[in-house]
Amino acid sequence: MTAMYVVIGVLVLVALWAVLAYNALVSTRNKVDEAWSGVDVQLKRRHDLVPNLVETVKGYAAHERSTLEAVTEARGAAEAAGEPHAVERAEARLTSALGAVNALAEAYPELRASENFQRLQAELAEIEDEIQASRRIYNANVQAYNTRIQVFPTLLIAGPMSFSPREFFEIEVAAERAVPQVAF
Amino acid sequence: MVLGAAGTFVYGASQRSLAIMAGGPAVVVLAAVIACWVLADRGAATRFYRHYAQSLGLVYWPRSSLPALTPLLGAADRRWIEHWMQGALSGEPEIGGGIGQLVLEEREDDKRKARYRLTICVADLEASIRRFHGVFLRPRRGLIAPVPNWIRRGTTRAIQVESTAFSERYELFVADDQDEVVARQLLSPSLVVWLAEHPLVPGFELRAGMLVVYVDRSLSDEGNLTYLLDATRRIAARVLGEVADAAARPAA
Repeated sequence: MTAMYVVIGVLVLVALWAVLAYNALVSTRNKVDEAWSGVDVQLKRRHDLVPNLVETVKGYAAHERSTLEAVTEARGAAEAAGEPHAVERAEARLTSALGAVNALAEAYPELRASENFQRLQAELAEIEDEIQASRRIYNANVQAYNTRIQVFPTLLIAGPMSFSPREFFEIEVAAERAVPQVAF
Repeated sequence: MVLGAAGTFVYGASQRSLAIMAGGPAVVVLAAVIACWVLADRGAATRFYRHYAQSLGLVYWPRSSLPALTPLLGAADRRWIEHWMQGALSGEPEIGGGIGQLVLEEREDDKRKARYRLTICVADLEASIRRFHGVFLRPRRGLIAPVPNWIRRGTTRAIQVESTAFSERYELFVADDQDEVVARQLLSPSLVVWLAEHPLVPGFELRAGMLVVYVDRSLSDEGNLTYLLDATRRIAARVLGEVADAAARPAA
């Protein structure tokens, strides 16, 4: 009889642990989803800024059509992207295109001096900071979640309950990834 | 000290007690050394804070008090501020405020039960009154918390922030009449990351136009006090930035 009580007690404890572990996994996964929506909000802010930026630049550098079209196309592609990987690629493209617009300002002093352009640049810089921060939050959450589903004993719950690993989100521009060459 | 030691020695002799003759002067000397040490320590602390205040262009008060505008400033049975340095907190934007050591005292049957020391930095952000009715960020309390719990759950509610690292470090509460979305807007991703990595783990309370940034221990060196001042400026700038953004946004 005592042995049966011990077995029942152990089973109850295991069941309790399973419930707590499952809830912790759900909570961590929700944090990842929330963090992704945080990234999404900041990306949307950047997308919303692009038309104003293009219009402002057009006023001073109308014949730089190809650069401006590239930005508009990149923005469209970024808005259409859904999965983190697709978003990653599209946002990297948009970042490159925006970099080209910024470079235009060097060739057009009037554009550089424009108050509206400066304000948009400042706003864009602030949004870039927020994107970077929200991306760090998302990646930290992904790391916490992925670790949790891969370590013992929570993997015993994560596997059967279909908690699959998430992917990190990186916006990398090819030019930024390249190792700088230093010559002496 | 000499008179006291001699007195206890003579008293011991009159009582024919070797213990009093030997122990009495020793106790008197020890008491005098402790008293001198305490007085010297207090004097050194006062000099340090006075010079620190002077270097920042702040006015030094050995002891002061603040109105209980936030839960922390109304915590415990008795409270006061030691080494209060008040004035314009230099930086961008320049804001009025002060920094000092908040002492909280819990009492029972008119006797001191416990005393806690925190370092606080206060910024006057009157412009935030309408937008922020109560946002309270508290370092997460472990099993043995160094300070009492002063946030009452009846008038506040907890909200979650999307960062795991942040949530492991902090608890966020808002007043019942605080718009939750507005509170979340204040905690922008960059502020969340910054707070989640800040070595001092500063908490803050924002209510009635007063921002109180605090650490739940006493900071008594220039480096850490300056670090807390910088943290206050950073959070204050974020609050004022959010207020300005909200004012610039077209009304819905």
